[in-house]
Amino acid sequence: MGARADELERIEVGIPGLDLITNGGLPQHRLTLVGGTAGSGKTVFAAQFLAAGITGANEPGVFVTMEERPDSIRRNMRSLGWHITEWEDQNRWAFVDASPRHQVDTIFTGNDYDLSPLLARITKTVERIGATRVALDSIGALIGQFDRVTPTRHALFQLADALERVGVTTVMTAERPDDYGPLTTLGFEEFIADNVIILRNALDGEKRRRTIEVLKMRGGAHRKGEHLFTLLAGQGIVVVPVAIETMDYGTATVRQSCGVPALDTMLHGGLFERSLWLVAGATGTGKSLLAAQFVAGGVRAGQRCLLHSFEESHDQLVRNAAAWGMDFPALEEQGRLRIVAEAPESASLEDHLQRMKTTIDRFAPDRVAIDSLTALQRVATVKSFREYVLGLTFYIKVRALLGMVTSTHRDFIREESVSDLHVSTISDVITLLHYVPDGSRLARGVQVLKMRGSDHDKAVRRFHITDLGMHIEEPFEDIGGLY
Amino acid sequence: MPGRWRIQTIRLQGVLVEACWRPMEGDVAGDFHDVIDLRDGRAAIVIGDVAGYGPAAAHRAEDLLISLRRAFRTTNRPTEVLAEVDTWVASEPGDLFATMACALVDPAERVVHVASAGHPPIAVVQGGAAGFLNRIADPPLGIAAERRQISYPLAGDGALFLYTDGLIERRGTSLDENLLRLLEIAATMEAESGGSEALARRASGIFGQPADDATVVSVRVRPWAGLTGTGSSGAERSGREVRLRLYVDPRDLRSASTEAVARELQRVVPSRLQIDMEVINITAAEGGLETDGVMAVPTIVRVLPQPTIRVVGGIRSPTELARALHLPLSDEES
Repeated sequence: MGARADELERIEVGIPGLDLITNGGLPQHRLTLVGGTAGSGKTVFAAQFLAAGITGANEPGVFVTMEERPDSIRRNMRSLGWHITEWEDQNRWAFVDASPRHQVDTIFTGNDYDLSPLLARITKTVERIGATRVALDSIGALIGQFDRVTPTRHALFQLADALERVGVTTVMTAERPDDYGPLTTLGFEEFIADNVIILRNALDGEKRRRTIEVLKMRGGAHRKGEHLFTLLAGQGIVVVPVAIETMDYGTATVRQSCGVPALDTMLHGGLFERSLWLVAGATGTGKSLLAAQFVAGGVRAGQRCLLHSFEESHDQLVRNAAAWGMDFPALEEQGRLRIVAEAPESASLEDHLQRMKTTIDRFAPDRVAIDSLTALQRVATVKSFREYVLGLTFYIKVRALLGMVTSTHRDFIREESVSDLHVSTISDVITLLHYVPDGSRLARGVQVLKMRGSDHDKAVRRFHITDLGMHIEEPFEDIGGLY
Repeated sequence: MPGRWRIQTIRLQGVLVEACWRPMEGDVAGDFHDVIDLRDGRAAIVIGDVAGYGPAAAHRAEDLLISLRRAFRTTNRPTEVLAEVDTWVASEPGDLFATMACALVDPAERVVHVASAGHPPIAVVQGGAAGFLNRIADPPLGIAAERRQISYPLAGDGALFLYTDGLIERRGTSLDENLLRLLEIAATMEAESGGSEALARRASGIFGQPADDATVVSVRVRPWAGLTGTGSSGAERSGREVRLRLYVDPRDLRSASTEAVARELQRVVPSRLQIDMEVINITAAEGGLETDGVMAVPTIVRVLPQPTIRVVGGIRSPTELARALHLPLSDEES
């Protein structure tokens, strides 16, 4: 009866961002193949599919491990914040141990065997805990355990068929020899599934780049192409959809002041709520001032604001703000503002991220400014910095906050480094602060480079830093160069 | 364009060998390995690496394999095998730089003898600890030199890992440190019965994909090794009771015929052995499937005497089954 309608039913996976790129989640009661090279994150994906079902939808899950022993999975996943043992005690998670623990003591007499016991073990476990999700990790490891491909291949078709009949939604992982090339090592697994997702961990210059791609998905359009993801402690896979703008931005029509009225005019009315604003410019162009004005503007509009400064001390910020008439200590007292000023070197990047998230969770601000990302880069390797930036900006997005980040790196906005940091891709608004040669001296110029979902003033306008803050004037008439 | 990781499992009477390798370019490699079944339960495992990669290196590796097989016709001793290959290398025109290691595994005596010609040290993992058998390398092939033979006791749960430098060598990293990392990874392998593929997978996870041909060969002793022959059979040593569990699926024809054959087993073994067989229908079974970790039918598990032996696949005659289960045959049958 409902078979046709069934095909269109999706279940939300619970992997942040994945539901967006799959356009609604994985097809319910169907099997999805997740292919990837060694170390691409297949096991985490499989485990997270179950963990998210348990924590998010109260759906029990069965993990069929054909490679690692259950103990090693329990141990590895603990660092991601999943306490599998507890879930096992509550009958919300169950393992079927099909790992190669009996390899050495097994003799094969031929290839005339049938994998129906494995099937029986899986279906019985599914029934026992009332599972609606099943993860199988991985096909290659299963085939490796047996002498011949044929019976295993037969069993896999049987298995896929049986699981669909039982009515569970399944994720099955498969090895790929390379990040780009044949879909899977054996070449037939893809025929088992109508839905295929690829995980990659490819070398890109000196760095590894984790991406996820939905290759095919039954029952609707999905987002094409590779999407960056990161593995975060306590969260697992977090997909950063390249087309992140679609997250509610179509409906966001309410504008908020960025803190500088003349700049609001350049933005044709201010920032859209829930957007991320990147301000980039050389040292001394006025980024920290803009960050302070941004939070002050929020406070004026009755919002709770958080300023995280790695550039200036608390005292310095208070003094500067007093000059243009803002009493920061009083606002902090009233709980309308929180200023966290610390040296980047005071903690590891991971700790900074964790603290910042905790502050955001506790203080529950409406807008957040971080000044600057560049300062943090001093204490980080390229890789961890990238993960940090992704994690943080994504967190701001997910919490639907109005966010602002500053950077001295103009690299952020250059094409080749966009793929590197993705700050500019994630940002909804990019503003550049320049030094502009003006006769024999340098003047300051401000420019709105990008404004998602709205037209904006494209001119480079002269501005001054006064005691009252940023003062924007007319556009430069003739620009010899920008710095 | 690097090739893909390939996996080969070789099941000999006394040892289980798993090889996993990845050519740096296309399908062929300068890395090579060979497993020689000495037909008495013992096996020789050889691994080697010709400098460079691609077809040219692969061609030299082929030559080395031929001279190696030739050497095994006259000797089984690892040092002598290497010396034979040395002689061939020395007679070859042109420069050939290659390393090679040879391990002779004797499962019945629970010992391994190794010798190395400039090859990275062989790792051994047993009882939860990992170490190298031959940390100090003897000269590579082609340099006639006295090489040491190292003998080491091999426990039943022990595993050997032979590999080429492609697995651990990365530009800008310290080889010594990587060797230590490798030991750490190898130490975790034992509990999980991980083989070469698992090691290669973890190593590439930590060091990144190899920048050269890379090979890993794992060797494990099979638990029944040494039980061969009627005289020293485990069944006789550990008592008269033979307990078996046969897993069948009533829908499966091979299950039915195997069950019929298994019921004849008592007829072909000495009468002092009492065969006690439980037949388990997998479609109705509750707990046993998980306990025995049964994956396929028909499966026969020898529960007693220990060690456990499991036989997967159809069986055509009771004598074939007795042999597979390492049970002695009665005088009439043998």
